[in-house]
Amino acid sequence: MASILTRSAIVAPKNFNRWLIPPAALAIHLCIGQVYAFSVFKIPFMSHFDAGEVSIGWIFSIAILMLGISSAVFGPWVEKNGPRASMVAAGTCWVVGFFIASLGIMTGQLWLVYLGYGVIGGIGLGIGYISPVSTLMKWFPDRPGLATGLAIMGFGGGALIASPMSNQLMALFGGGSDPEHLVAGLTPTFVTLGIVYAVVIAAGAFVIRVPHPEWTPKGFDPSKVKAKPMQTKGNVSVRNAIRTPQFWLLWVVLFLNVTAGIGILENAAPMIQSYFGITAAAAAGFVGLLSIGNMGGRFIWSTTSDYLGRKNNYMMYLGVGAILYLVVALFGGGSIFLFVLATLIIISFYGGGFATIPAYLKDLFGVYQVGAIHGALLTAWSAAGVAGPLIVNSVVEAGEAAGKEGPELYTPGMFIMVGALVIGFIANVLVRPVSEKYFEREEDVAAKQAAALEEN
Amino acid sequence: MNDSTPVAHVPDSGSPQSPVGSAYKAVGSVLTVVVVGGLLWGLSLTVVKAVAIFTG
Repeated sequence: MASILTRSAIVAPKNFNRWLIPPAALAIHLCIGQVYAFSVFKIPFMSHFDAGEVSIGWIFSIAILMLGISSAVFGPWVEKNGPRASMVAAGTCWVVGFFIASLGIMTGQLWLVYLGYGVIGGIGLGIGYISPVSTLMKWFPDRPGLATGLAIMGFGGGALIASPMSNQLMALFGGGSDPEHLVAGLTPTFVTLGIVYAVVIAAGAFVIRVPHPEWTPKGFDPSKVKAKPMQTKGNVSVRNAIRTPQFWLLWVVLFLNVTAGIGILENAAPMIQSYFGITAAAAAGFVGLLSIGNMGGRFIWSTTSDYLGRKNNYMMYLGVGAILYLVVALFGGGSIFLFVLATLIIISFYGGGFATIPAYLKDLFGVYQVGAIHGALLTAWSAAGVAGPLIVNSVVEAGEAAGKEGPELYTPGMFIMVGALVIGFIANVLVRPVSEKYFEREEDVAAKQAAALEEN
Repeated sequence: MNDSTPVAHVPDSGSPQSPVGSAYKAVGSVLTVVVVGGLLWGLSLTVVKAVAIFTG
Protein backbone atom coordinates (compact mmCIF):
# COMPACT_ATOMS: atom_id res chain seq x y z
CA MET A 1 0.00 0.00 0.00
CA ALA A 2 1.33 3.39 -0.93
CA SER A 3 2.12 5.70 1.94
CA ILE A 4 0.78 9.23 1.73
CA LEU A 5 4.22 10.41 2.81
CA THR A 6 6.26 9.16 -0.15
CA ARG A 7 7.42 11.29 -3.06
CA SER A 8 5.17 9.34 -5.45
CA ALA A 9 2.11 10.25 -3.33
CA ILE A 10 2.62 14.00 -3.60
CA VAL A 11 3.10 14.62 -7.31
CA ALA A 12 1.24 17.81 -8.24
CA PRO A 13 -1.15 18.13 -11.20
CA LYS A 14 0.37 19.29 -14.47
CA ASN A 15 -1.24 22.74 -14.21
CA PHE A 16 -0.34 23.36 -10.55
CA ASN A 17 0.35 26.89 -9.24
CA ARG A 18 3.93 26.68 -7.92
CA TRP A 19 3.50 29.71 -5.64
CA LEU A 20 1.70 27.50 -3.11
CA ILE A 21 5.00 25.72 -2.42
CA PRO A 22 7.08 28.55 -0.82
CA PRO A 23 4.55 29.04 2.06
CA ALA A 24 4.79 25.29 2.79
CA ALA A 25 8.59 25.54 2.88
CA LEU A 26 8.42 28.74 4.92
CA ALA A 27 6.13 26.99 7.42
CA ILE A 28 8.79 24.55 8.55
CA HIS A 29 11.66 27.05 8.41
CA LEU A 30 9.75 29.64 10.46
CA CYS A 31 9.04 26.97 13.11
CA ILE A 32 12.54 25.57 13.42
CA GLY A 33 14.01 29.10 13.17
CA GLN A 34 12.77 29.47 16.75
CA VAL A 35 16.20 28.17 17.76
CA TYR A 36 17.67 31.65 17.04
CA ALA A 37 15.30 33.07 19.69
CA PHE A 38 16.47 30.66 22.37
CA SER A 39 18.20 33.49 24.23
CA VAL A 40 14.80 34.73 25.51
CA PHE A 41 14.71 31.63 27.75
CA LYS A 42 18.29 32.02 28.97
CA ILE A 43 17.66 34.12 32.10
CA PRO A 44 14.43 32.30 33.15
CA PHE A 45 16.27 28.97 32.69
CA MET A 46 19.28 30.14 34.74
CA SER A 47 16.92 31.12 37.52
CA HIS A 48 14.72 28.00 37.29
CA PHE A 49 17.59 25.47 37.17
CA ASP A 50 19.88 27.55 39.38
CA ALA A 51 22.52 27.08 36.67
CA GLY A 52 25.20 29.26 35.11
CA GLU A 53 25.33 30.83 31.67
CA VAL A 54 27.59 28.09 30.31
CA SER A 55 25.31 25.23 31.44
CA ILE A 56 22.27 26.87 29.85
CA GLY A 57 24.26 27.90 26.77
CA TRP A 58 24.92 24.22 26.10
CA ILE A 59 21.25 23.68 25.19
CA PHE A 60 21.61 25.92 22.12
CA SER A 61 25.09 24.59 21.27
CA ILE A 62 23.91 20.96 21.33
CA ALA A 63 20.96 21.85 19.08
CA ILE A 64 23.21 23.54 16.48
CA LEU A 65 25.75 20.71 16.66
CA MET A 66 22.98 18.17 16.06
CA LEU A 67 21.69 20.30 13.18
CA GLY A 68 24.93 19.83 11.25
CA ILE A 69 25.34 16.15 12.15
CA SER A 70 21.75 15.16 11.36
CA SER A 71 21.60 17.09 8.08
CA ALA A 72 24.73 15.23 6.95
CA VAL A 73 23.59 11.82 8.22
CA PHE A 74 19.96 12.03 7.11
CA GLY A 75 20.55 14.00 3.87
CA PRO A 76 20.43 10.89 1.62
CA TRP A 77 17.28 9.71 3.47
CA VAL A 78 15.64 13.10 2.91
CA GLU A 79 16.56 12.96 -0.79
CA LYS A 80 15.15 9.44 -1.16
CA ASN A 81 11.90 9.91 0.74
CA GLY A 82 10.95 13.38 -0.43
CA PRO A 83 9.82 16.56 1.30
CA ARG A 84 6.61 15.40 2.99
CA ALA A 85 8.15 12.42 4.81
CA SER A 86 11.11 14.60 5.85
CA MET A 87 8.89 17.46 7.06
CA VAL A 88 6.85 14.99 9.13
CA ALA A 89 10.02 13.42 10.58
CA ALA A 90 11.54 16.85 11.30
CA GLY A 91 8.32 18.17 12.82
CA THR A 92 7.95 15.09 15.01
CA CYS A 93 11.50 15.44 16.37
CA TRP A 94 11.12 19.19 16.88
CA VAL A 95 7.77 18.93 18.69
CA VAL A 96 8.74 15.87 20.76
CA GLY A 97 11.89 17.81 21.70
CA PHE A 98 9.72 20.63 23.08
CA PHE A 99 7.56 18.20 25.06
CA ILE A 100 10.56 16.39 26.58
CA ALA A 101 12.09 19.77 27.44
CA SER A 102 8.78 20.75 29.11
CA LEU A 103 9.03 17.60 31.22
CA GLY A 104 12.59 18.56 32.12
CA ILE A 105 11.48 22.06 33.16
CA MET A 106 8.56 20.67 35.18
CA THR A 107 10.74 18.15 37.05
CA GLY A 108 13.79 20.42 37.32
CA GLN A 109 15.96 18.01 35.29
CA LEU A 110 18.27 20.03 33.01
CA TRP A 111 19.54 16.88 31.27
CA LEU A 112 16.05 16.29 29.90
CA VAL A 113 16.19 19.74 28.28
CA TYR A 114 19.59 18.85 26.75
CA LEU A 115 18.11 15.59 25.45
CA GLY A 116 14.78 17.01 24.31
CA TYR A 117 15.49 20.45 22.87
CA GLY A 118 19.20 19.88 22.20
CA VAL A 119 19.53 16.34 20.83
CA ILE A 120 16.05 15.34 19.56
CA GLY A 121 15.01 18.87 18.60
CA GLY A 122 18.43 19.37 16.99
CA ILE A 123 17.87 16.31 14.78
CA GLY A 124 14.57 17.91 13.74
CA LEU A 125 16.46 21.11 12.92
CA GLY A 126 18.87 19.32 10.56
CA ILE A 127 16.21 17.31 8.71
CA GLY A 128 13.81 20.26 8.61
CA TYR A 129 16.40 22.72 7.32
CA ILE A 130 17.19 20.67 4.20
CA SER A 131 13.76 19.09 3.68
CA PRO A 132 12.18 21.67 1.32
CA VAL A 133 15.34 22.97 -0.37
CA SER A 134 15.80 20.58 -3.31
CA THR A 135 12.02 20.50 -3.90
CA LEU A 136 11.95 24.29 -4.17
CA MET A 137 14.78 24.24 -6.70
CA LYS A 138 12.82 21.73 -8.80
CA TRP A 139 9.79 24.06 -8.72
CA PHE A 140 11.91 27.12 -9.61
CA PRO A 141 14.50 25.90 -12.12
CA ASP A 142 14.43 29.40 -13.63
CA ARG A 143 15.14 31.16 -10.30
CA PRO A 144 16.66 28.76 -7.75
CA GLY A 145 18.26 31.56 -5.73
CA LEU A 146 14.91 33.26 -5.19
CA ALA A 147 13.32 29.95 -4.18
CA THR A 148 15.90 28.92 -1.61
CA GLY A 149 16.20 32.51 -0.38
CA LEU A 150 12.48 32.50 0.41
CA ALA A 151 12.71 29.33 2.51
CA ILE A 152 15.98 30.07 4.27
CA MET A 153 14.76 33.61 4.99
CA GLY A 154 12.14 31.82 7.11
CA PHE A 155 14.85 30.32 9.29
CA GLY A 156 16.14 33.82 10.04
CA GLY A 157 12.60 35.14 10.43
CA GLY A 158 11.56 32.40 12.86
CA ALA A 159 13.27 34.23 15.69
CA LEU A 160 11.43 37.48 14.89
CA ILE A 161 8.15 35.66 15.59
CA ALA A 162 9.29 33.27 18.33
CA SER A 163 11.03 35.90 20.42
CA PRO A 164 8.03 38.20 21.13
CA MET A 165 5.61 35.24 21.13
CA SER A 166 7.64 33.38 23.78
CA ASN A 167 7.90 36.48 25.98
CA GLN A 168 4.16 37.11 25.72
CA LEU A 169 3.31 33.45 26.45
CA MET A 170 5.62 33.34 29.51
CA ALA A 171 4.01 36.55 30.83
CA LEU A 172 0.50 35.25 30.10
CA PHE A 173 0.97 31.84 31.77
CA GLY A 174 3.13 33.18 34.58
CA GLY A 175 0.74 36.00 35.45
CA GLY A 176 3.06 38.96 34.73
CA SER A 177 6.26 40.07 33.09
CA ASP A 178 8.46 40.12 36.21
CA PRO A 179 11.35 37.63 36.19
CA GLU A 180 9.66 35.23 38.66
CA HIS A 181 6.45 35.24 36.60
CA LEU A 182 8.38 34.48 33.42
CA VAL A 183 9.98 31.48 35.17
CA ALA A 184 6.54 30.26 36.29
CA GLY A 185 5.32 30.42 32.69
CA LEU A 186 8.14 28.32 31.21
CA THR A 187 6.47 24.87 31.12
CA PRO A 188 3.12 25.89 29.57
CA THR A 189 5.00 28.12 27.11
CA PHE A 190 7.08 25.18 25.87
CA VAL A 191 3.96 22.96 25.61
CA THR A 192 2.07 25.69 23.71
CA LEU A 193 4.97 26.31 21.32
CA GLY A 194 5.16 22.54 20.68
CA ILE A 195 1.44 22.41 19.80
CA VAL A 196 1.60 25.52 17.57
CA TYR A 197 4.64 24.15 15.71
CA ALA A 198 2.94 20.73 15.29
CA VAL A 199 -0.08 22.37 13.61
CA VAL A 200 1.93 24.67 11.32
CA ILE A 201 4.41 21.97 10.24
CA ALA A 202 1.56 19.50 9.63
CA ALA A 203 -0.16 22.08 7.40
CA GLY A 204 3.11 22.63 5.52
CA ALA A 205 3.55 18.86 5.02
CA PHE A 206 -0.05 18.66 3.74
CA VAL A 207 0.50 21.46 1.21
CA ILE A 208 3.96 20.47 -0.09
CA ARG A 209 4.07 18.85 -3.55
CA VAL A 210 6.75 17.75 -6.02
CA PRO A 211 6.44 18.84 -9.67
CA HIS A 212 4.75 16.66 -12.27
CA PRO A 213 7.40 15.07 -14.54
CA GLU A 214 5.96 16.92 -17.56
CA TRP A 215 5.65 20.28 -15.79
CA THR A 216 7.82 23.30 -16.58
CA PRO A 217 7.30 26.94 -15.57
CA LYS A 218 5.37 29.02 -18.12
CA GLY A 219 7.70 30.45 -20.75
CA PHE A 220 10.66 28.39 -19.51
CA ASP A 221 12.30 25.96 -21.90
CA PRO A 222 15.24 24.17 -20.26
CA SER A 223 16.75 23.32 -23.66
CA LYS A 224 16.94 27.02 -24.60
CA VAL A 225 18.55 28.15 -21.35
CA LYS A 226 22.05 29.47 -21.90
CA ALA A 227 24.24 27.84 -19.27
CA LYS A 228 26.27 30.24 -17.15
CA PRO A 229 30.00 29.50 -16.75
CA MET A 230 29.67 27.71 -13.38
CA GLN A 231 26.44 25.84 -14.16
CA THR A 232 26.75 22.16 -14.89
CA LYS A 233 24.52 20.17 -17.21
CA GLY A 234 25.35 16.95 -15.36
CA ASN A 235 24.37 15.43 -12.04
CA VAL A 236 26.68 14.31 -9.25
CA SER A 237 25.69 11.94 -6.42
CA VAL A 238 26.41 12.91 -2.80
CA ARG A 239 28.91 10.03 -2.61
CA ASN A 240 30.93 11.52 -5.48
CA ALA A 241 30.35 15.16 -4.53
CA ILE A 242 32.26 14.82 -1.26
CA ARG A 243 35.23 13.50 -3.25
CA THR A 244 35.51 16.68 -5.32
CA PRO A 245 37.74 19.66 -4.41
CA GLN A 246 34.75 21.94 -5.15
CA PHE A 247 32.80 20.51 -2.20
CA TRP A 248 35.65 21.13 0.23
CA LEU A 249 36.38 24.60 -1.15
CA LEU A 250 32.73 25.49 -0.56
CA TRP A 251 32.97 23.91 2.90
CA VAL A 252 35.82 26.32 3.70
CA VAL A 253 33.89 29.24 2.16
CA LEU A 254 30.76 28.54 4.23
CA PHE A 255 32.76 27.86 7.38
CA LEU A 256 34.64 31.16 7.16
CA ASN A 257 31.62 33.23 6.11
CA VAL A 258 29.64 31.87 9.09
CA THR A 259 32.60 32.32 11.46
CA ALA A 260 32.88 35.98 10.39
CA GLY A 261 29.15 36.54 10.92
CA ILE A 262 29.33 35.00 14.37
CA GLY A 263 32.16 37.42 15.11
CA ILE A 264 29.56 40.20 15.04
CA LEU A 265 26.56 38.28 16.36
CA GLU A 266 28.31 36.84 19.39
CA ASN A 267 29.30 40.22 20.84
CA ALA A 268 26.95 42.65 19.14
CA ALA A 269 25.46 44.17 22.29
CA PRO A 270 28.64 44.56 24.40
CA MET A 271 30.60 45.73 21.34
CA ILE A 272 28.31 48.67 20.49
CA GLN A 273 28.16 49.61 24.18
CA SER A 274 31.96 49.63 24.40
CA TYR A 275 32.31 51.69 21.22
CA PHE A 276 29.65 54.32 21.91
CA GLY A 277 28.66 53.99 25.58
CA ILE A 278 24.96 53.46 24.77
CA THR A 279 22.53 51.80 27.20
CA ALA A 280 21.87 48.04 27.33
CA ALA A 281 18.32 48.67 26.06
CA ALA A 282 19.63 50.55 23.02
CA ALA A 283 22.10 47.73 22.42
CA ALA A 284 19.16 45.28 22.42
CA GLY A 285 17.56 47.41 19.71
CA PHE A 286 20.77 47.09 17.69
CA VAL A 287 20.60 43.28 18.06
CA GLY A 288 17.02 43.43 16.74
CA LEU A 289 18.22 45.39 13.71
CA LEU A 290 20.90 42.76 13.09
CA SER A 291 18.29 40.00 13.01
CA ILE A 292 16.40 41.96 10.35
CA GLY A 293 19.64 42.34 8.38
CA ASN A 294 20.25 38.60 8.71
CA MET A 295 16.76 37.78 7.43
CA GLY A 296 16.73 40.40 4.68
CA GLY A 297 20.15 39.31 3.43
CA ARG A 298 18.92 35.75 3.02
CA PHE A 299 16.22 36.81 0.59
CA ILE A 300 17.80 39.81 -1.16
CA TRP A 301 21.29 38.43 -1.80
CA SER A 302 20.10 34.95 -2.72
CA THR A 303 17.67 36.46 -5.25
CA THR A 304 20.36 38.67 -6.78
CA SER A 305 22.56 35.58 -7.21
CA ASP A 306 20.17 34.42 -9.96
CA TYR A 307 21.43 37.41 -11.99
CA LEU A 308 24.99 37.95 -10.74
CA GLY A 309 25.96 34.27 -10.44
CA ARG A 310 26.66 32.45 -7.14
CA LYS A 311 30.45 32.74 -7.37
CA ASN A 312 30.24 36.51 -7.87
CA ASN A 313 27.86 36.83 -4.95
CA TYR A 314 30.32 35.01 -2.70
CA MET A 315 33.11 37.27 -3.97
CA MET A 316 30.99 40.14 -2.67
CA TYR A 317 30.14 38.48 0.69
CA LEU A 318 33.77 37.65 1.39
CA GLY A 319 35.59 40.53 -0.34
CA VAL A 320 33.33 43.42 0.62
CA GLY A 321 32.80 41.73 4.02
CA ALA A 322 36.57 41.83 4.66
CA ILE A 323 36.72 45.51 3.69
CA LEU A 324 33.76 46.36 5.95
CA TYR A 325 35.33 44.50 8.88
CA LEU A 326 38.48 46.52 8.29
CA VAL A 327 36.46 49.76 8.19
CA VAL A 328 34.79 48.89 11.52
CA ALA A 329 38.13 47.98 13.10
CA LEU A 330 39.87 51.14 11.91
CA PHE A 331 37.15 53.80 11.81
CA GLY A 332 34.01 52.24 13.41
CA GLY A 333 34.47 54.06 16.69
CA GLY A 334 34.18 57.44 14.94
CA SER A 335 30.57 57.22 13.85
CA ILE A 336 27.66 55.15 15.18
CA PHE A 337 25.98 55.45 11.77
CA LEU A 338 29.02 53.96 10.03
CA PHE A 339 29.29 51.22 12.68
CA VAL A 340 25.61 50.19 12.44
CA LEU A 341 25.57 50.35 8.63
CA ALA A 342 28.76 48.30 8.23
CA THR A 343 27.72 45.62 10.74
CA LEU A 344 24.25 45.40 9.19
CA ILE A 345 25.77 44.75 5.76
CA ILE A 346 28.20 42.17 7.22
CA ILE A 347 25.26 40.33 8.84
CA SER A 348 23.24 40.50 5.63
CA PHE A 349 26.21 38.76 3.91
CA TYR A 350 26.19 36.13 6.67
CA GLY A 351 22.50 35.41 5.96
CA GLY A 352 23.06 35.67 2.21
CA GLY A 353 25.79 33.03 2.44
CA PHE A 354 23.39 30.53 3.99
CA ALA A 355 20.67 31.20 1.44
CA THR A 356 22.89 31.19 -1.66
CA ILE A 357 24.77 27.96 -0.91
CA PRO A 358 22.01 25.51 -2.04
CA ALA A 359 21.79 27.19 -5.46
CA TYR A 360 25.62 27.24 -5.69
CA LEU A 361 25.61 23.48 -5.02
CA LYS A 362 22.90 22.98 -7.64
CA ASP A 363 24.98 24.90 -10.19
CA LEU A 364 28.04 22.74 -9.49
CA PHE A 365 26.53 19.31 -8.81
CA GLY A 366 23.09 19.39 -10.48
CA VAL A 367 19.74 18.95 -8.80
CA TYR A 368 19.83 15.12 -8.51
CA GLN A 369 21.01 14.82 -4.87
CA VAL A 370 21.49 18.49 -4.01
CA GLY A 371 19.55 18.14 -0.74
CA ALA A 372 21.91 15.46 0.56
CA ILE A 373 24.99 17.40 -0.62
CA HIS A 374 23.62 20.51 1.12
CA GLY A 375 23.14 18.43 4.28
CA ALA A 376 26.77 17.26 4.17
CA LEU A 377 28.00 20.84 3.68
CA LEU A 378 26.09 22.09 6.73
CA THR A 379 28.70 20.41 8.95
CA ALA A 380 30.66 23.61 8.16
CA TRP A 381 27.95 25.54 10.02
CA SER A 382 28.29 23.31 13.11
CA ALA A 383 32.08 23.68 13.03
CA ALA A 384 31.78 27.47 12.72
CA GLY A 385 29.23 27.47 15.53
CA VAL A 386 31.95 26.08 17.79
CA ALA A 387 35.00 27.87 16.31
CA GLY A 388 33.42 31.34 15.89
CA PRO A 389 32.46 32.01 19.51
CA LEU A 390 35.66 30.32 20.69
CA ILE A 391 37.84 32.71 18.63
CA VAL A 392 35.86 35.83 19.52
CA ASN A 393 35.55 35.08 23.24
CA SER A 394 39.20 33.96 23.56
CA VAL A 395 40.39 37.23 22.01
CA VAL A 396 38.17 39.29 24.35
CA GLU A 397 39.30 37.30 27.41
CA ALA A 398 42.97 37.64 26.42
CA GLY A 399 42.44 41.39 26.01
CA GLU A 400 40.82 41.67 29.43
CA ALA A 401 43.70 39.71 30.99
CA ALA A 402 46.13 42.16 29.35
CA GLY A 403 44.25 45.10 30.89
CA LYS A 404 42.62 46.33 27.67
CA GLU A 405 39.13 47.82 27.66
CA GLY A 406 36.53 49.36 25.34
CA PRO A 407 36.94 48.98 21.55
CA GLU A 408 40.51 47.71 22.05
CA LEU A 409 39.02 44.43 23.29
CA TYR A 410 37.33 43.73 19.96
CA THR A 411 39.79 45.12 17.39
CA PRO A 412 42.16 42.04 17.30
CA GLY A 413 39.15 39.74 16.74
CA MET A 414 38.10 41.89 13.79
CA PHE A 415 41.51 41.60 12.17
CA ILE A 416 41.28 37.80 12.59
CA MET A 417 37.90 37.92 10.82
CA VAL A 418 39.42 39.99 7.99
CA GLY A 419 42.04 37.25 7.57
CA ALA A 420 39.34 34.54 7.65
CA LEU A 421 37.31 36.31 4.98
CA VAL A 422 40.36 36.78 2.75
CA ILE A 423 41.11 33.03 2.97
CA GLY A 424 37.44 32.34 2.16
CA PHE A 425 37.68 34.72 -0.81
CA ILE A 426 40.70 32.80 -2.16
CA ALA A 427 38.88 29.46 -1.68
CA ASN A 428 35.93 30.83 -3.65
CA VAL A 429 38.21 32.05 -6.45
CA LEU A 430 39.57 28.50 -6.75
CA VAL A 431 36.10 26.98 -7.35
CA ARG A 432 35.86 25.65 -10.92
CA PRO A 433 33.18 23.59 -12.67
CA VAL A 434 33.10 19.93 -11.57
CA SER A 435 34.91 17.45 -13.80
CA GLU A 436 32.63 15.27 -15.93
CA LYS A 437 34.26 12.13 -14.50
CA TYR A 438 32.10 12.63 -11.39
CA PHE A 439 28.82 12.83 -13.33
CA GLU A 440 26.20 10.11 -13.05
CA ARG A 441 24.93 8.57 -16.28
CA GLU A 442 21.96 10.66 -17.43
CA GLU A 443 19.83 7.54 -18.06
CA ASP A 444 20.50 6.26 -14.53
CA VAL A 445 19.47 9.58 -12.98
CA ALA A 446 16.31 9.76 -15.10
CA ALA A 447 15.45 6.13 -14.30
CA LYS A 448 15.87 6.65 -10.56
CA GLN A 449 13.86 9.89 -10.61
CA ALA A 450 11.09 8.22 -12.63
CA ALA A 451 11.02 5.23 -10.27
CA ALA A 452 10.77 7.55 -7.24
CA LEU A 453 7.65 9.16 -8.74
CA GLU A 454 6.03 5.87 -9.70
CA GLU A 455 6.80 3.51 -6.81
CA ASN A 456 3.67 2.43 -4.98
CA MET B 1 18.05 -1.99 -26.15
CA ASN B 2 15.90 1.05 -25.43
CA ASP B 3 18.05 4.19 -25.32
CA SER B 4 15.24 6.71 -24.66
CA THR B 5 15.30 8.64 -21.37
CA PRO B 6 12.92 7.06 -18.85
CA VAL B 7 10.04 9.33 -17.77
CA ALA B 8 7.65 8.66 -14.90
CA HIS B 9 4.06 7.99 -15.89
CA VAL B 10 1.86 10.07 -13.63
CA PRO B 11 -1.76 11.14 -14.36
CA ASP B 12 -2.20 14.79 -15.44
CA SER B 13 -4.16 15.35 -12.22
CA GLY B 14 -1.14 14.30 -10.13
CA SER B 15 -0.98 11.62 -7.43
CA PRO B 16 -4.41 10.19 -6.63
CA GLN B 17 -3.40 9.90 -2.93
CA SER B 18 -3.05 13.69 -2.60
CA PRO B 19 -5.77 15.41 -4.64
CA VAL B 20 -5.62 19.17 -5.04
CA GLY B 21 -9.22 20.00 -4.16
CA SER B 22 -11.04 22.61 -2.11
CA ALA B 23 -9.60 21.34 1.22
CA TYR B 24 -6.08 21.65 -0.21
CA LYS B 25 -6.71 25.18 -1.45
CA ALA B 26 -8.25 26.21 1.88
CA VAL B 27 -5.31 24.87 3.93
CA GLY B 28 -2.83 26.39 1.44
CA SER B 29 -4.50 29.81 1.65
CA VAL B 30 -4.70 29.81 5.47
CA LEU B 31 -1.07 28.69 5.70
CA THR B 32 0.01 31.51 3.37
CA VAL B 33 -1.84 34.06 5.53
CA VAL B 34 -0.34 32.60 8.73
CA VAL B 35 3.28 32.56 7.54
CA VAL B 36 3.20 35.94 5.78
CA GLY B 37 1.19 37.53 8.61
CA GLY B 38 3.48 36.03 11.24
CA LEU B 39 6.56 37.33 9.47
CA LEU B 40 5.12 40.83 9.07
CA TRP B 41 4.02 40.85 12.73
CA GLY B 42 7.47 39.84 13.99
CA LEU B 43 9.22 42.21 11.61
CA SER B 44 7.12 45.23 12.53
CA LEU B 45 7.50 44.55 16.29
CA THR B 46 11.28 44.34 15.92
CA VAL B 47 11.50 47.50 13.80
CA VAL B 48 9.30 49.47 16.23
CA LYS B 49 11.37 48.25 19.20
CA ALA B 50 14.69 49.01 17.52
CA VAL B 51 13.66 52.47 16.34
CA ALA B 52 12.05 53.37 19.69
CA ILE B 53 15.11 52.31 21.63
CA PHE B 54 17.48 54.27 19.40
CA THR B 55 15.35 57.40 19.26
CA GLY B 56 14.42 57.14 22.95
